[in-house]
Amino acid sequence: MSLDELFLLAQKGNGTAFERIVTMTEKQIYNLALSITRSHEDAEDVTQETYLRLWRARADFRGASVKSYIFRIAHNTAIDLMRKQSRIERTSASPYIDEDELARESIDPDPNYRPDEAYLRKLTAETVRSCINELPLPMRELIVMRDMDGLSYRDIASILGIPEGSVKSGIFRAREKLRILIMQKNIL
Amino acid sequence: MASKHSCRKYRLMLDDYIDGSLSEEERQKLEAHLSACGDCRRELHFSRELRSIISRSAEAPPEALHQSIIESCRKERKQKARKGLIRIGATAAIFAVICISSAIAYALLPGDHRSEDIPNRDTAASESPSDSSSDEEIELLPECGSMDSANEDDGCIEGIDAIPKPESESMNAPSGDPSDADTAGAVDTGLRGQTSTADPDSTAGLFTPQTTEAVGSEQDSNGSKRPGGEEITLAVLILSGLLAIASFIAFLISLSSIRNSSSKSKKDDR
Repeated sequence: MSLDELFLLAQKGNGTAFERIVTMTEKQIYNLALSITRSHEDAEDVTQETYLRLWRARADFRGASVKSYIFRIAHNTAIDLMRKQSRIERTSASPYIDEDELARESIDPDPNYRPDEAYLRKLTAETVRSCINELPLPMRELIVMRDMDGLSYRDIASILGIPEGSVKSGIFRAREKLRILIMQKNIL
Repeated sequence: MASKHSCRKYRLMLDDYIDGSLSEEERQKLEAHLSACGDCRRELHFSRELRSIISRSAEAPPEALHQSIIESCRKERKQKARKGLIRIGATAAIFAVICISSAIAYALLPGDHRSEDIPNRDTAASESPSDSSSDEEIELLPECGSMDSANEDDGCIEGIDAIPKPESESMNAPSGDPSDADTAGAVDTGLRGQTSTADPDSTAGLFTPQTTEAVGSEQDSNGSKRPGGEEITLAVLILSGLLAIASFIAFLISLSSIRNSSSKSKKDDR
Protein backbone atom coordinates (compact mmCIF):
# COMPACT_ATOMS: atom_id res chain seq x y z
CA MET A 1 0.00 0.00 0.00
CA SER A 2 1.36 3.42 -0.95
CA LEU A 3 2.02 6.29 1.45
CA ASP A 4 -0.93 8.24 0.02
CA GLU A 5 -3.32 5.30 0.48
CA LEU A 6 -2.11 4.72 4.02
CA PHE A 7 -2.55 8.39 4.80
CA LEU A 8 -6.14 8.29 3.57
CA LEU A 9 -6.82 5.52 6.08
CA ALA A 10 -4.99 7.43 8.81
CA GLN A 11 -7.17 10.45 8.09
CA LYS A 12 -10.18 8.30 8.96
CA GLY A 13 -8.57 7.51 12.31
CA ASN A 14 -6.85 4.22 11.41
CA GLY A 15 -3.98 3.99 13.89
CA THR A 16 -2.36 0.96 12.22
CA ALA A 17 -2.10 2.78 8.90
CA PHE A 18 -0.51 5.70 10.71
CA GLU A 19 2.02 3.40 12.38
CA ARG A 20 2.98 2.04 8.95
CA ILE A 21 3.52 5.59 7.70
CA VAL A 22 5.86 6.14 10.65
CA THR A 23 7.76 2.95 9.83
CA MET A 24 8.10 3.92 6.16
CA THR A 25 9.33 7.46 6.68
CA GLU A 26 10.94 7.79 10.11
CA LYS A 27 14.51 7.13 8.91
CA GLN A 28 14.28 9.91 6.33
CA ILE A 29 12.68 12.31 8.76
CA TYR A 30 15.24 11.50 11.43
CA ASN A 31 18.10 12.20 9.01
CA LEU A 32 16.55 15.45 7.86
CA ALA A 33 16.17 16.50 11.50
CA LEU A 34 19.74 15.42 12.18
CA SER A 35 21.01 17.46 9.23
CA ILE A 36 19.29 20.57 10.56
CA THR A 37 19.94 20.21 14.29
CA ARG A 38 23.26 18.27 14.13
CA SER A 39 22.28 16.69 17.44
CA HIS A 40 20.98 13.16 17.88
CA GLU A 41 18.91 14.12 20.88
CA ASP A 42 17.27 17.05 19.11
CA ALA A 43 16.73 14.94 15.99
CA GLU A 44 14.81 12.40 18.10
CA ASP A 45 12.67 15.14 19.62
CA VAL A 46 11.99 16.66 16.21
CA THR A 47 11.07 13.29 14.71
CA GLN A 48 8.66 12.51 17.53
CA GLU A 49 7.12 15.97 17.42
CA THR A 50 6.77 15.72 13.63
CA TYR A 51 4.59 12.63 13.85
CA LEU A 52 2.52 14.08 16.65
CA ARG A 53 1.90 17.19 14.58
CA LEU A 54 1.14 15.01 11.56
CA TRP A 55 -1.43 13.06 13.56
CA ARG A 56 -3.07 16.23 14.87
CA ALA A 57 -3.10 17.93 11.46
CA ARG A 58 -3.93 14.88 9.35
CA ALA A 59 -7.42 16.16 8.62
CA ASP A 60 -6.05 19.48 7.32
CA PHE A 61 -3.99 17.85 4.55
CA ARG A 62 -5.19 18.98 1.13
CA GLY A 63 -1.95 18.79 -0.87
CA ALA A 64 -0.80 16.41 -3.57
CA SER A 65 2.16 14.71 -1.89
CA VAL A 66 1.94 13.18 1.57
CA LYS A 67 5.71 12.75 1.62
CA SER A 68 6.26 16.49 1.03
CA TYR A 69 3.70 17.24 3.74
CA ILE A 70 5.55 15.12 6.31
CA PHE A 71 8.90 16.62 5.33
CA ARG A 72 7.49 20.15 5.54
CA ILE A 73 6.25 19.46 9.07
CA ALA A 74 9.66 18.04 10.00
CA HIS A 75 11.49 21.03 8.47
CA ASN A 76 9.27 23.52 10.33
CA THR A 77 9.53 21.60 13.59
CA ALA A 78 13.33 21.50 13.38
CA ILE A 79 13.58 25.19 12.47
CA ASP A 80 11.22 26.05 15.37
CA LEU A 81 13.47 24.12 17.75
CA MET A 82 16.60 25.82 16.40
CA ARG A 83 14.97 29.22 16.84
CA LYS A 84 13.98 28.34 20.39
CA GLN A 85 17.55 27.39 21.12
CA SER A 86 18.82 30.45 19.21
CA ARG A 87 20.91 28.16 17.07
CA ILE A 88 19.83 29.37 13.64
CA GLU A 89 22.94 30.01 11.67
CA ARG A 90 23.56 33.28 9.91
CA THR A 91 24.92 32.22 6.55
CA SER A 92 26.60 34.93 4.51
CA ALA A 93 25.50 33.49 1.20
CA SER A 94 22.26 31.65 0.63
CA PRO A 95 22.52 28.53 -1.50
CA TYR A 96 19.18 29.39 -3.05
CA ILE A 97 20.29 31.37 -6.08
CA ASP A 98 19.08 31.69 -9.62
CA GLU A 99 20.26 29.28 -12.26
CA ASP A 100 21.42 32.23 -14.35
CA GLU A 101 23.59 33.42 -11.51
CA LEU A 102 24.93 29.92 -11.12
CA ALA A 103 25.79 29.68 -14.80
CA ARG A 104 27.83 32.90 -14.52
CA GLU A 105 29.89 31.47 -11.66
CA SER A 106 33.05 29.81 -12.85
CA ILE A 107 33.69 26.29 -11.69
CA ASP A 108 37.37 26.15 -11.11
CA PRO A 109 38.73 22.95 -12.63
CA ASP A 110 41.59 22.83 -10.13
CA PRO A 111 43.40 19.49 -10.62
CA ASN A 112 43.84 19.23 -6.82
CA TYR A 113 40.11 18.79 -6.48
CA ARG A 114 39.74 16.11 -9.11
CA PRO A 115 38.67 12.84 -7.53
CA ASP A 116 40.34 9.59 -8.43
CA GLU A 117 39.27 5.98 -8.07
CA ALA A 118 41.54 5.29 -5.11
CA TYR A 119 40.08 8.18 -3.20
CA LEU A 120 36.54 7.17 -3.92
CA ARG A 121 37.29 3.72 -2.55
CA LYS A 122 38.59 5.23 0.69
CA LEU A 123 35.64 7.50 1.07
CA THR A 124 33.43 6.23 3.85
CA ALA A 125 29.90 7.06 4.84
CA GLU A 126 31.22 8.51 8.08
CA THR A 127 33.53 10.94 6.26
CA VAL A 128 30.68 12.04 4.03
CA ARG A 129 28.43 12.56 7.04
CA SER A 130 30.97 14.68 8.85
CA CYS A 131 31.51 16.73 5.66
CA ILE A 132 27.77 17.24 5.26
CA ASN A 133 27.66 18.47 8.86
CA GLU A 134 30.21 21.12 8.00
CA LEU A 135 28.00 22.61 5.30
CA PRO A 136 25.86 25.62 6.17
CA LEU A 137 22.26 24.78 7.16
CA PRO A 138 20.36 25.23 3.89
CA MET A 139 23.02 23.27 1.98
CA ARG A 140 22.96 20.41 4.48
CA GLU A 141 19.22 20.19 4.22
CA LEU A 142 19.24 20.25 0.41
CA ILE A 143 21.86 17.52 0.14
CA VAL A 144 20.04 15.30 2.60
CA MET A 145 16.64 15.79 0.98
CA ARG A 146 17.94 15.23 -2.51
CA ASP A 147 20.75 12.69 -2.22
CA MET A 148 19.89 10.94 1.03
CA ASP A 149 16.09 10.90 0.98
CA GLY A 150 15.70 10.92 -2.80
CA LEU A 151 13.12 13.71 -3.00
CA SER A 152 12.39 15.33 -6.34
CA TYR A 153 13.23 18.99 -7.03
CA ARG A 154 9.53 19.73 -7.10
CA ASP A 155 8.97 18.15 -3.67
CA ILE A 156 11.92 20.03 -2.18
CA ALA A 157 10.64 23.29 -3.67
CA SER A 158 7.23 22.65 -2.13
CA ILE A 159 8.73 21.78 1.28
CA LEU A 160 10.97 24.84 1.46
CA GLY A 161 8.57 27.17 -0.35
CA ILE A 162 11.10 28.29 -2.95
CA PRO A 163 11.18 28.02 -6.77
CA GLU A 164 12.30 24.76 -8.32
CA GLY A 165 15.14 26.56 -10.14
CA SER A 166 16.48 27.82 -6.83
CA VAL A 167 16.42 24.27 -5.47
CA LYS A 168 18.43 23.03 -8.46
CA SER A 169 21.02 25.75 -8.18
CA GLY A 170 21.19 25.36 -4.39
CA ILE A 171 21.80 21.62 -4.68
CA PHE A 172 24.46 22.21 -7.33
CA ARG A 173 26.31 24.65 -5.05
CA ALA A 174 25.92 22.36 -2.06
CA ARG A 175 27.44 19.44 -3.98
CA GLU A 176 30.33 21.59 -5.13
CA LYS A 177 30.98 22.72 -1.58
CA LEU A 178 30.73 19.15 -0.33
CA ARG A 179 33.15 17.97 -2.99
CA ILE A 180 35.66 20.62 -1.89
CA LEU A 181 35.26 19.65 1.77
CA ILE A 182 35.79 15.99 0.95
CA MET A 183 38.93 16.78 -1.08
CA GLN A 184 40.30 18.95 1.72
CA LYS A 185 39.85 16.08 4.17
CA ASN A 186 41.72 13.80 1.78
CA ILE A 187 44.60 16.27 1.54
CA LEU A 188 44.84 16.55 5.34
CA MET B 1 39.58 19.39 -25.85
CA ALA B 2 36.39 20.98 -24.54
CA SER B 3 36.47 24.60 -23.39
CA LYS B 4 35.90 25.72 -19.79
CA HIS B 5 32.65 27.37 -20.79
CA SER B 6 31.19 24.26 -22.40
CA CYS B 7 32.31 22.12 -19.42
CA ARG B 8 30.47 24.47 -17.05
CA LYS B 9 27.36 24.20 -19.18
CA TYR B 10 27.49 20.40 -19.29
CA ARG B 11 28.30 19.96 -15.59
CA LEU B 12 25.09 21.77 -14.77
CA MET B 13 23.33 19.03 -16.71
CA LEU B 14 25.02 16.10 -14.92
CA ASP B 15 22.51 15.84 -12.06
CA ASP B 16 19.60 15.77 -14.45
CA TYR B 17 21.46 13.21 -16.52
CA ILE B 18 21.87 10.96 -13.47
CA ASP B 19 18.19 11.52 -12.64
CA GLY B 20 17.24 10.71 -16.23
CA SER B 21 15.31 13.98 -16.50
CA LEU B 22 17.10 15.43 -19.55
CA SER B 23 15.36 15.74 -22.89
CA GLU B 24 16.48 13.41 -25.66
CA GLU B 25 18.29 16.24 -27.43
CA GLU B 26 20.10 17.42 -24.27
CA ARG B 27 21.08 13.86 -23.39
CA GLN B 28 22.62 13.24 -26.81
CA LYS B 29 24.58 16.51 -26.65
CA LEU B 30 25.88 15.71 -23.15
CA GLU B 31 26.88 12.18 -24.10
CA ALA B 32 28.74 13.54 -27.13
CA HIS B 33 30.59 15.97 -24.82
CA LEU B 34 31.36 13.27 -22.25
CA SER B 35 32.91 11.04 -24.90
CA ALA B 36 35.32 13.88 -25.73
CA CYS B 37 36.00 15.28 -22.18
CA GLY B 38 37.80 13.15 -19.57
CA ASP B 39 37.31 15.74 -16.75
CA CYS B 40 33.56 15.77 -17.19
CA ARG B 41 33.47 11.96 -17.31
CA ARG B 42 35.35 11.85 -13.99
CA GLU B 43 32.98 14.46 -12.63
CA LEU B 44 30.02 12.32 -13.64
CA HIS B 45 31.55 9.25 -12.04
CA PHE B 46 32.32 11.18 -8.86
CA SER B 47 28.80 12.61 -8.70
CA ARG B 48 27.30 9.14 -9.03
CA GLU B 49 29.58 7.71 -6.37
CA LEU B 50 29.02 10.60 -4.03
CA ARG B 51 25.29 10.25 -4.29
CA SER B 52 25.53 6.57 -3.64
CA ILE B 53 27.73 7.16 -0.56
CA ILE B 54 25.43 9.92 0.72
CA SER B 55 22.40 7.68 0.41
CA ARG B 56 24.27 4.94 2.27
CA SER B 57 25.38 7.37 4.95
CA ALA B 58 21.84 7.84 6.24
CA GLU B 59 21.75 6.98 9.92
CA ALA B 60 19.20 4.59 11.31
CA PRO B 61 17.18 6.15 14.11
CA PRO B 62 17.46 4.54 17.56
CA GLU B 63 15.10 1.59 17.98
CA ALA B 64 13.51 3.17 21.04
CA LEU B 65 12.49 6.16 18.95
CA HIS B 66 10.03 4.16 16.86
CA GLN B 67 8.31 2.80 19.97
CA SER B 68 8.31 6.23 21.54
CA ILE B 69 6.63 7.79 18.47
CA ILE B 70 3.98 5.08 18.37
CA GLU B 71 3.32 5.43 22.10
CA SER B 72 3.04 9.21 21.97
CA CYS B 73 0.61 9.00 19.05
CA ARG B 74 -1.47 6.39 20.91
CA LYS B 75 -1.56 8.62 23.99
CA GLU B 76 -2.64 11.51 21.81
CA ARG B 77 -5.49 9.42 20.38
CA LYS B 78 -6.58 8.31 23.87
CA GLN B 79 -6.46 11.85 25.21
CA LYS B 80 -8.61 13.04 22.37
CA ALA B 81 -11.13 10.25 22.96
CA ARG B 82 -11.10 11.06 26.68
CA LYS B 83 -11.74 14.73 26.01
CA GLY B 84 -14.70 13.71 23.84
CA LEU B 85 -16.11 11.54 26.63
CA ILE B 86 -15.67 14.33 29.18
CA ARG B 87 -17.53 16.67 26.85
CA ILE B 88 -20.39 14.17 26.41
CA GLY B 89 -20.53 13.54 30.18
CA ALA B 90 -20.58 17.24 31.02
CA THR B 91 -23.30 17.91 28.44
CA ALA B 92 -25.37 14.99 29.76
CA ALA B 93 -24.96 16.22 33.36
CA ILE B 94 -25.99 19.77 32.45
CA PHE B 95 -28.95 18.45 30.48
CA ALA B 96 -30.03 16.25 33.39
CA VAL B 97 -29.85 19.20 35.80
CA ILE B 98 -31.86 21.38 33.41
CA CYS B 99 -34.50 18.65 32.97
CA ILE B 100 -34.83 18.01 36.70
CA SER B 101 -34.91 21.66 37.68
CA SER B 102 -37.42 22.59 34.97
CA ALA B 103 -39.63 19.64 35.94
CA ILE B 104 -39.50 20.69 39.61
CA ALA B 105 -40.22 24.30 38.69
CA TYR B 106 -43.16 23.23 36.55
CA ALA B 107 -44.53 20.97 39.27
CA LEU B 108 -44.24 23.71 41.91
CA LEU B 109 -46.08 26.29 39.83
CA PRO B 110 -49.67 26.92 40.93
CA GLY B 111 -52.23 25.25 38.70
CA ASP B 112 -53.71 28.60 37.53
CA HIS B 113 -50.31 29.78 36.27
CA ARG B 114 -49.59 26.55 34.49
CA SER B 115 -52.76 26.64 32.46
CA GLU B 116 -53.34 30.37 32.32
CA ASP B 117 -52.32 30.60 28.74
CA ILE B 118 -54.93 28.08 27.69
CA PRO B 119 -58.00 30.08 28.76
CA ASN B 120 -56.36 33.21 27.41
CA ARG B 121 -56.12 31.62 24.05
CA ASP B 122 -59.72 30.50 24.32
CA THR B 123 -60.85 33.91 25.35
CA ALA B 124 -59.00 35.44 22.47
CA ALA B 125 -60.52 32.90 20.18
CA SER B 126 -64.01 33.58 21.46
CA GLU B 127 -63.51 37.29 21.14
CA SER B 128 -61.92 37.43 17.78
CA PRO B 129 -64.60 35.90 15.57
CA SER B 130 -67.00 38.79 16.07
CA ASP B 131 -66.68 42.11 17.72
CA SER B 132 -70.39 42.08 18.46
CA SER B 133 -69.94 39.48 21.21
CA SER B 134 -67.50 41.72 23.06
CA ASP B 135 -69.87 44.60 22.52
CA GLU B 136 -72.56 42.54 24.07
CA GLU B 137 -70.37 41.85 27.07
CA ILE B 138 -69.77 45.54 27.53
CA GLU B 139 -73.46 46.12 27.30
CA LEU B 140 -73.99 43.41 29.87
CA LEU B 141 -72.17 45.58 32.40
CA PRO B 142 -73.94 48.85 32.17
CA GLU B 143 -73.17 49.76 35.75
CA CYS B 144 -69.50 48.94 35.63
CA GLY B 145 -68.32 51.75 33.42
CA SER B 146 -64.62 51.57 32.79
CA MET B 147 -62.29 48.77 33.87
CA ASP B 148 -60.71 51.07 36.40
CA SER B 149 -63.96 51.59 38.10
CA ALA B 150 -64.56 47.86 37.93
CA ASN B 151 -61.42 47.32 39.97
CA GLU B 152 -62.75 49.65 42.59
CA ASP B 153 -66.22 48.23 42.52
CA ASP B 154 -66.76 44.79 43.98
CA GLY B 155 -69.78 44.10 41.91
CA CYS B 156 -68.01 44.87 38.70
CA ILE B 157 -65.24 42.42 39.39
CA GLU B 158 -67.78 39.77 40.02
CA GLY B 159 -69.53 40.93 36.90
CA ILE B 160 -66.37 40.24 34.91
CA ASP B 161 -66.12 36.80 36.43
CA ALA B 162 -69.65 36.19 35.43
CA ILE B 163 -69.29 37.56 31.90
CA PRO B 164 -69.01 34.27 30.13
CA LYS B 165 -71.86 32.97 29.00
CA PRO B 166 -74.77 30.84 28.70
CA GLU B 167 -73.59 28.08 31.12
CA SER B 168 -72.88 30.42 34.00
CA GLU B 169 -75.98 32.32 33.16
CA SER B 170 -78.02 29.20 33.47
CA MET B 171 -76.33 28.37 36.74
CA ASN B 172 -76.75 31.78 38.25
CA ALA B 173 -80.22 32.23 36.87
CA PRO B 174 -81.67 28.81 36.35
CA SER B 175 -85.14 30.13 35.76
CA GLY B 176 -84.08 32.96 33.47
CA ASP B 177 -85.55 33.78 30.17
CA PRO B 178 -83.72 32.14 27.25
CA SER B 179 -83.58 35.42 25.32
CA ASP B 180 -80.22 37.24 25.32
CA ALA B 181 -81.39 40.45 26.83
CA ASP B 182 -83.27 38.73 29.59
CA THR B 183 -80.41 36.37 30.29
CA ALA B 184 -78.07 39.29 30.52
CA GLY B 185 -80.42 40.90 32.89
CA ALA B 186 -80.63 37.72 34.87
CA VAL B 187 -76.88 37.44 35.13
CA ASP B 188 -76.63 41.04 36.09
CA THR B 189 -79.32 40.80 38.63
CA GLY B 190 -78.12 37.50 39.96
CA LEU B 191 -74.58 38.70 40.39
CA ARG B 192 -75.53 41.91 41.90
CA GLY B 193 -77.77 39.99 44.16
CA GLN B 194 -74.85 37.89 45.28
CA THR B 195 -72.67 40.90 45.77
CA SER B 196 -75.28 42.61 47.76
CA THR B 197 -75.24 39.72 50.22
CA ALA B 198 -71.58 40.34 50.87
CA ASP B 199 -70.16 43.06 53.04
CA PRO B 200 -69.66 45.96 50.63
CA ASP B 201 -66.87 47.51 52.76
CA SER B 202 -64.82 44.38 52.99
CA THR B 203 -62.48 43.20 50.23
CA ALA B 204 -63.15 39.71 51.48
CA GLY B 205 -66.49 40.16 49.86
CA LEU B 206 -64.76 39.80 46.56
CA PHE B 207 -64.10 36.20 47.38
CA THR B 208 -67.38 35.22 48.87
CA PRO B 209 -68.35 31.56 48.59
CA GLN B 210 -70.57 32.45 45.73
CA THR B 211 -67.72 34.06 43.84
CA THR B 212 -65.48 31.08 44.41
CA GLU B 213 -68.26 28.92 43.25
CA ALA B 214 -68.51 31.00 40.13
CA VAL B 215 -64.79 30.47 39.43
CA GLY B 216 -65.11 26.81 40.17
CA SER B 217 -68.06 26.52 37.93
CA GLU B 218 -66.08 28.26 35.18
CA GLN B 219 -63.31 25.70 35.50
CA ASP B 220 -65.78 22.91 35.39
CA SER B 221 -67.75 24.36 32.57
CA ASN B 222 -64.59 24.87 30.48
CA GLY B 223 -63.83 21.21 30.70
CA SER B 224 -61.84 21.29 27.49
CA LYS B 225 -59.44 23.92 28.93
CA ARG B 226 -58.43 23.00 32.44
CA PRO B 227 -58.48 19.22 32.79
CA GLY B 228 -55.68 19.07 30.15
CA GLY B 229 -53.45 21.05 32.51
CA GLU B 230 -52.90 18.18 34.93
CA GLU B 231 -52.31 15.71 32.14
CA ILE B 232 -49.73 18.01 30.58
CA THR B 233 -48.03 18.45 33.96
CA LEU B 234 -47.84 14.70 34.38
CA ALA B 235 -46.55 14.19 30.83
CA VAL B 236 -43.92 16.91 31.28
CA LEU B 237 -42.84 15.39 34.58
CA ILE B 238 -42.55 11.91 33.09
CA LEU B 239 -40.72 13.17 30.01
CA SER B 240 -38.34 15.28 32.08
CA GLY B 241 -37.72 12.37 34.39
CA LEU B 242 -36.94 10.05 31.49
CA LEU B 243 -34.62 12.58 29.89
CA ALA B 244 -32.90 13.18 33.20
CA ILE B 245 -32.43 9.44 33.72
CA ALA B 246 -31.08 9.01 30.17
CA SER B 247 -28.70 11.94 30.64
CA PHE B 248 -27.57 10.61 33.98
CA ILE B 249 -26.89 7.16 32.47
CA ALA B 250 -24.88 8.81 29.64
CA PHE B 251 -22.94 10.73 32.25
CA LEU B 252 -22.20 7.55 34.25
CA ILE B 253 -21.13 5.66 31.10
CA SER B 254 -18.76 8.44 30.04
CA LEU B 255 -17.42 8.66 33.60
CA SER B 256 -16.68 4.92 33.72
CA SER B 257 -15.10 5.05 30.24
CA ILE B 258 -12.84 7.88 31.38
CA ARG B 259 -11.86 5.88 34.48
CA ASN B 260 -11.16 2.78 32.37
CA SER B 261 -9.03 4.68 29.87
CA SER B 262 -7.05 6.44 32.59
CA SER B 263 -6.41 3.17 34.46
CA LYS B 264 -5.33 1.53 31.19
CA SER B 265 -2.96 4.38 30.37
CA LYS B 266 -1.53 4.13 33.92
CA LYS B 267 -0.91 0.41 33.34
CA ASP B 268 0.70 1.23 29.99
CA ASP B 269 2.93 3.80 31.65
CA ARG B 270 4.07 1.20 34.19
